Amino acid sequence: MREGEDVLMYTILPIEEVMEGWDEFEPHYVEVRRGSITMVVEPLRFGQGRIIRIISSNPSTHLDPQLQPGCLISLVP
Amino acid sequence: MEQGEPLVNQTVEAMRQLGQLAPPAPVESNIHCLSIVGQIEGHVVLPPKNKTTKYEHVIPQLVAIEQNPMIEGVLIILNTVGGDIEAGLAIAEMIRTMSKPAVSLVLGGGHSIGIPIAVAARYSFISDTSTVTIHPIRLTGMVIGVPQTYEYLDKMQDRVIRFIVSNSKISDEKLRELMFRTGELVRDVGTVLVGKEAVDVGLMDELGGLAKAMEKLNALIDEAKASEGG
Repeated sequence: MREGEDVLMYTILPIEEVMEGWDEFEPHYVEVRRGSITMVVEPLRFGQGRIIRIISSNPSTHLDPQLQPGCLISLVP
Repeated sequence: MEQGEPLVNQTVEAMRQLGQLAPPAPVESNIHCLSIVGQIEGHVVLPPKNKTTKYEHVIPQLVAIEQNPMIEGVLIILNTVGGDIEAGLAIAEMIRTMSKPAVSLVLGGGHSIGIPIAVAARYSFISDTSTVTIHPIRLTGMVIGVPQTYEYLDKMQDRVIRFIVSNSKISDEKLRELMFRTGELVRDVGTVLVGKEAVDVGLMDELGGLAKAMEKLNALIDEAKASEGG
């Protein structure tokens, strides 16, 4: 979370717990295109990446079990 | 991996690339199961310690469910500690305005912003041991400058209350009374309702588990089909 962003949380967890580590949290994401689908991926080791977000205007893409946030994909073409 | 490829090739490819076997091809189902777990994540990416449900993924999924003729109903499994209020309300609104029947099942916990999502479904179940925490919306030790005033928080709270009241059997007065009750929570004002208590106050429709939820969903699907046919 950066300066200027605001978010209103309604949760039972104390906000300190939710935001723990936010000041060191600097994820590195890359955009990957597979066919007509663009996704935001966090590169991991060994040429793998973890899907963070699917960018597609086709709603059925979001139901594809292999394209869920958290799924691993190969970044090697 | 292309979608049209034969399964064997896909499997070999998955093994070559990930050293894993692809899960077996799913059996076609006429319902879709949507699980909402952990923190509900809105437009701020939460630090990695949190398990999150991302609204930008759930919303197009609901669109796909609404559009897909093979899917006739949705089962929403909730085990959430709450989260981003606007994202939660957005998901709740999407569920409420779907034409396909949705049944929600609270397992573990359906706290805070999880409540509007649970009641947004046409019928809601809570399992015996699950809990629902109702508490006021507040800013606790926010790390960044938030421009919202107290009035803004109050309005936001009214939005949540209005949504819950109009989608469940609880009254406005009762919900506010539970929300501002003192002496129940250690660190906060509010109430924890366990299983049956949530049904008794009219928040959830029925006490039950998976079988009951599925049965209700199938009944709602049949009802929808009958009214279409007639």
